[in-house]
Amino acid sequence: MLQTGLGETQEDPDNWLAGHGDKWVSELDGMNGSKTSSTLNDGISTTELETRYLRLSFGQPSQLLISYLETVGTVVIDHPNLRTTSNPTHPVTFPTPANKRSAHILRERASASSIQSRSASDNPPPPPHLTSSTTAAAARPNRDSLLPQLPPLLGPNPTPSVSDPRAASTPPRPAQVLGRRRQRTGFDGEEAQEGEAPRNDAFGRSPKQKRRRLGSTMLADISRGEPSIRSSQPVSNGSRASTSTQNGTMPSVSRHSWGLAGSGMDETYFGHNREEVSRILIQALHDLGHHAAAAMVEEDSGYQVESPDVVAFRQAVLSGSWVKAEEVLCGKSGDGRGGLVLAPGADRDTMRFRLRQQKFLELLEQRETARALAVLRNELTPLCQQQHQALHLLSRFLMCQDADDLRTKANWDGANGQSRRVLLTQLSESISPSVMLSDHRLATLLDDVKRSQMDRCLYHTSPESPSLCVDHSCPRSRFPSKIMAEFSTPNASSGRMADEIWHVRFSPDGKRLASCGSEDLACVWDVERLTLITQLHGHMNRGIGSLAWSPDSKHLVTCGFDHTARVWNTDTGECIRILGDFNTPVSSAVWTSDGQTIITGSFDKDMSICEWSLRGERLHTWKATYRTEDLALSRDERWLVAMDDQKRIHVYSFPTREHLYDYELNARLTSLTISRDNKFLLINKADSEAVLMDLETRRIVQRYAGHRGGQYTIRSDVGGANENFVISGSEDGRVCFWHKLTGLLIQDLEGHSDSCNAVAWSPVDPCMLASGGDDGRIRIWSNVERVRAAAAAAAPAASGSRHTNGTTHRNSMGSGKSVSTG
Amino acid sequence: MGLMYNVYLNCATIYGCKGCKTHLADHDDIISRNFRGQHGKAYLFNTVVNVDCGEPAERNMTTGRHVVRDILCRSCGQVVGWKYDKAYESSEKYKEGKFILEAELLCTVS
Repeated sequence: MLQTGLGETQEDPDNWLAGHGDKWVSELDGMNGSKTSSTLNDGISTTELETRYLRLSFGQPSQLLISYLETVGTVVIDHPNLRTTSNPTHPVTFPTPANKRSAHILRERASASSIQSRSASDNPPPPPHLTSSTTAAAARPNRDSLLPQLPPLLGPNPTPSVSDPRAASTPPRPAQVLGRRRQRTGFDGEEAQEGEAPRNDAFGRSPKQKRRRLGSTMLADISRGEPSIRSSQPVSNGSRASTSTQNGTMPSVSRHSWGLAGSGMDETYFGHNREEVSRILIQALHDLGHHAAAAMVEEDSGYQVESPDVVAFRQAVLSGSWVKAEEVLCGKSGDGRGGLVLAPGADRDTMRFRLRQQKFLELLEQRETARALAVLRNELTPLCQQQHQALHLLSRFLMCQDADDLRTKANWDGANGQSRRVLLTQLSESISPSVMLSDHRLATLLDDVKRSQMDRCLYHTSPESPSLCVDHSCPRSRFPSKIMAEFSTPNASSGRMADEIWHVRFSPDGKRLASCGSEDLACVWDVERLTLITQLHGHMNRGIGSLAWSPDSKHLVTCGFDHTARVWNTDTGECIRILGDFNTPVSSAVWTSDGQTIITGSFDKDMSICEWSLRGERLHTWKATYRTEDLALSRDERWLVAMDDQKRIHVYSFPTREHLYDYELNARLTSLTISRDNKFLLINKADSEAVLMDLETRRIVQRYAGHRGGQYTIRSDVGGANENFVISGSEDGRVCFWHKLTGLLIQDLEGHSDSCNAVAWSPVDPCMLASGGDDGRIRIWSNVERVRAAAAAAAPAASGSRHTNGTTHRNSMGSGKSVSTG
Repeated sequence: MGLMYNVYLNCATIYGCKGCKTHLADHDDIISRNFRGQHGKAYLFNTVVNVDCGEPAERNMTTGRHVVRDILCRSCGQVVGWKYDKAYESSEKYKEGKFILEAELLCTVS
């Protein structure tokens, strides 16, 4: 229990004064005449008092007592954890408050904090026997004299709402405990100062004023005791916006290296290297534009973002003084001694070459050809013993007519452009991070964190960037799992045996959905209004196996079993081109991003992969000795992957049409999809497994199981917010969802009564997907909210939604019973 | 029944359906040529692709009683032969699970 000096008794196990001896407290009590009942372990010896020496012992190992001492005097803090190894029995001594730093602290606090405890000046006069001494324990006489000083230090704390109950009692207390200058032990972090302010009045406010040790013991202790305090002490919450005046009312009073020899203090920021964190923060402050603040932090912490050498180097490069830059880089002697510290594996010669190359190009730009030639001969050539190509390239630039020509040929944007900065960035990668941080380091780290949080979100549906203040996770309720609408083709609804749906695809703008199947027509549906737009008649027999949208969402290519591929205008429904030299069914098609070229894949050995223009001319026939069953083109047009009917995929570099590699899998393959980040290829197999392969490294990075394969072609897709999900149909009619990175099966829906052949995720809407199956139905899935909204919107229009040329039936929720009308 | 593309064979001589040229069997897969069907010569094959099977029926053949089912070309639906499910006589057991394709209903696809 602690005597707060106001007559309050606090039962607080974490109170740092709990367990302290009688003497101290009784003195305090004597001051205000109330009874005390706390106990101090070691009291204050009067002899010590006279020597202005306060010796306090800590009752509990995790508590830290900050004593508040007058301007002259010494505080000795004795704590088991503070004892140095060299001095195991003696407590640590702190310099007196008379030194500049502490005075500085006091002043800062005084100016910055609200001074509620000025009322403390109304304290009763000190007892007679303590009049002269200025010791802490003898604080009493001092208390009076120190009274004026206390309020400032106490100030900040009364304000936080958290500490209100105590805060109310704080003002008078200072009077009692006066004379105690709070000595900061060196381990308070940047935030701790705010927390310290309240501590002035050690006894009373110990819980609030508990000094946070950056070591783990303290933290554990604090977490036990004062959750409320924690919120007002930014140390624990790092990022929580503290509304108290603590945050930021203490301008530059950051870390003080008080020379604390305490062995228990950690030189880390919650386990991270203090130097690194400080440097990153300073750089971030500079980036944000707060240069004064950054300078103050630099001064206080004693760390610098970049060593002066690096600063000189940076200036030299950006201003174009190449000789100076090289001198800094390599040191005066030119062989690296005394130069910049390089990252491991960095090559000084490469860096020198780059510098000299920039110099050469700039001289050429200014048309100082003679000097440029001199540079080339004397400076660049000796560096490139083996790489004559680079030299040849540079010497060719000598032939350029003028600066513009040079710039275009060299792909270089001139001395006045960004080239110097780019050069600096390149060079900085080779300089050791201990002297130079890469640009915007904090932003890079935060990007990483966001990315990893999004990647791990199991039901990720929000397309926006996550907030930094709270760990990201999306609610499951937003994940699509309910049927929003169901489409049937006209034949199906008219009562004839339903034909099967074999493929569904969203248009790139997400507004339309195309479907094809065993019937000879393809349908285009409007996804927003949930109606049929057009039917595309023209194919002859036995169905349409696959289709592909043009990038502008206006045209569609359908690949039929009648040995033709047809190009349609989806607005009018007319067939604008027939590509028909094939001897076998056409299996698949892809568009290039300009929408002018179509690449088809077919089972015809001579025309396995062909390129066509929109006018119907065959532009190119790729070299392929296999029969193509599926094709995929990456969005950046870098990779073209073809799947054959023999368990193999063939990967080509699209721009050069060069065959890169083949990969053989262990079962018959059924579909291919390349993810939008152009890195991964999803392959669905007939042995009930889908695999995700990295195109660059050619390795399988994840496997997905849970759906059923068999003899039919089942299609899968990658999609969702951040492309976090893989979905696939299944021969038992289910739609299966997996988390892409971890491979976890997160959901499966009863989609169709027979096999579910194709699934597609909307490219623009992270909460919508479509599935088509053997029962002739196409189902649009979304989350509960959207389904309700759609039902509400549909209700008034329900009466007008029936037409003979295709019906749509909206299910508000549930299992998808559909009634075929018309 | 879902989307199923035809299987394509990779060998020297391929027999295909006379009507639609769908690959059916490999010439090297013939077990015996000593068979006769309704339309004349027929061959016994180990495996045949791109065919659908009909319902099993018991038939009396020159060699005895068997349970057979007709096989049809998957693309055009034409009957191309039959498949042996069960042979009642032990000397005919070797035919079980194998296919007969009638030469008259086939063509060669190179």
